[in-house]
Amino acid sequence: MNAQPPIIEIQHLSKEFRIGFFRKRVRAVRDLSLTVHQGEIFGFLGPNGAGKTTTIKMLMGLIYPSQGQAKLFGIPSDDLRAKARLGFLPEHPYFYDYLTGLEFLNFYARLFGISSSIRSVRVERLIEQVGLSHARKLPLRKYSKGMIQRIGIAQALINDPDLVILDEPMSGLDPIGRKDVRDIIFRLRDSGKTVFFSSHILQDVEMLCDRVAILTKGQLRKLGTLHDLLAELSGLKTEITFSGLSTLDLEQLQRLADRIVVPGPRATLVFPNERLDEAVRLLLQKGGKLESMIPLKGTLEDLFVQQVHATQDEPSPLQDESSASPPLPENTQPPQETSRDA
Amino acid sequence: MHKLLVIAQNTFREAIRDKILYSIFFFAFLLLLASLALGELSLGHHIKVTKDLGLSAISFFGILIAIFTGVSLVHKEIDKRTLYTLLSKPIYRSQFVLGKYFGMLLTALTQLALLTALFSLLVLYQQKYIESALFQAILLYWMEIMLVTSIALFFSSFTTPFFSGVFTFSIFVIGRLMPEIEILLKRTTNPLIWLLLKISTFLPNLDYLNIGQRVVHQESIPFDYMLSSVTYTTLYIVLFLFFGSLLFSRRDFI
Ligand SMILES: Nc1ncnc2c1ncn2[C@@H]1O[C@H](COP(=O)(O)OP(=O)(O)OP(=O)(O)O)[C@@H](O)[C@H]1O
Ligand SMILES: [Mg+2]
Repeated sequence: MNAQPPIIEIQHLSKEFRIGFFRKRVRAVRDLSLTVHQGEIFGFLGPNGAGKTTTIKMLMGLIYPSQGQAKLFGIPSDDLRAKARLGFLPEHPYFYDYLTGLEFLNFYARLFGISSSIRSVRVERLIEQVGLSHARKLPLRKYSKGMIQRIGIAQALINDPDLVILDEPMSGLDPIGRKDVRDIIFRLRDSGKTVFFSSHILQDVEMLCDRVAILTKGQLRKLGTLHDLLAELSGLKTEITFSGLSTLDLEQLQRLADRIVVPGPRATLVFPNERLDEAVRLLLQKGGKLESMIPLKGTLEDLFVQQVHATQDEPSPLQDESSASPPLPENTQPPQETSRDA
Repeated sequence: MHKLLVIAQNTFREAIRDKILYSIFFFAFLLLLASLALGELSLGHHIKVTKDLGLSAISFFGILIAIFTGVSLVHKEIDKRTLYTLLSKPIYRSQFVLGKYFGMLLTALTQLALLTALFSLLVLYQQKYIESALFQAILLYWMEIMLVTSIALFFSSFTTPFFSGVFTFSIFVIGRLMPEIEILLKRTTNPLIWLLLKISTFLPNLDYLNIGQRVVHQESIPFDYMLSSVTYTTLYIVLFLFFGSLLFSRRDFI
């Protein structure tokens, strides 16, 4: 693409924790490799306990990897030059509750050595941008959960960062708040910044992300553009509209369906493709009239659920040394980067 | 250096917005006033009583604040996860540790300055003048407070506030008892006790810094003594801060 190093480059990153008296091994992240390029909005997905926060903490230098390394802007992630160009919002943030919103942002701005004239303008602008102008002189102790989340986002942008890493930025926000955050993320992208965030709110991810990674049990399962990943899924389900069946026959057909979109004599049902043959045969046999048949596009939720189910029989990250590396079930192929723009 | 000061200032701000500190200060204040009252009551020697009690109060409450802030303030940043955001900014972990340290010192110094001012007023009120030797004693108590803070910070870089507090207080007590330990060391015949005592002697000797009694009894303290005590303490402080930062830098924050 170009000679610039990737903004985030994670190479074979692993993290093991030892817990309890017997120092039981928890493999929170296993051999994770991925790159994020400039200008991307990258979604980092996975069920609870998948290892997202652990990965992000390694990127931030809060914990040290057991193996592998992470580079930001082509330099090791714990280098101060990398951190100077970085903004970070931790998961469930908690901040100095004795500071007011203004004092809080000024504190971080000063850590970046931002001169006082720029500082005051920027702090005011950010406070306004996250909708907290009314609470700027209030100590954070008196902020609501969503307000804390908002001031946390302002804090992450205080140094006008080139890369913003957000761990569940939408959690605790009302619908307006979520929209505000989406707008902020789009605005960042439009000004050439890179955004990497984890989230459980898949609608937001679908709206925002260029590329996503799906992690389960510490391992990367899917990586690619949203478009390509969802295209892979299409052809899994088909929506059929028909009429002319007796109630009894309709009931029989409905048992094969995944979902009823429109009930009644002129019905619309969704069938998984493996039962499609059978359903159509039954419909025609009983003298029904097929009106339309539409292959459904997969949703991110389908993909997410599929990946979680596919790996649910694997041992959890919490395991004994003895059963360290079980064979992967057949249906988990190692993730392959689905090609981006040609 | 600049970043260090920003962190120190924030630590100071945290401490002075904390109510516990005010209650400690309030008790120190009461004790000083009590020393005046007791001085008035004890016939003849009353000025000695005031000085003695006053210096002890300043030292005691200084140490109390040192241990309290030293063990709690770093742990609080870890516990409340404010550290996550802070360490994602371009600062070294050692800058964080030192920033915290100077913030704590600033807190203790403010407190010490206020108590010293009150103490001076009491002494002036009773004897119409104040001897510089009293300030020599307070200076060495100040060194002791700086040292104990660095010890508390050292422990809190790797263990819980409770254990940090216990360890720091033990080192303080051992340090104050160093003359007795040295005598015991010569007398004991039990090898195990000898070994334990021997190890203790590597800890800082805080008796060097406790010259309150000597000053109250009009002994004059030579400049050489002051200089060597200050140097001695500084070396220990540097050592504790160095190892504290080192341990802190290697930690995972989970
Ligand atoms: N300090 C720790 N000690 C032991 N195990 C840990 C520790 N931190 C995380 N883990 C384990 O590592 C795994 C990944 O946790 P992580 O917090 O990274 O998940 P996550 O993807 O962020 O989940 P969530 O969506 O719930 O935030 C989990 O199995 C968790 O139990
Ligand atoms: Mg998480």
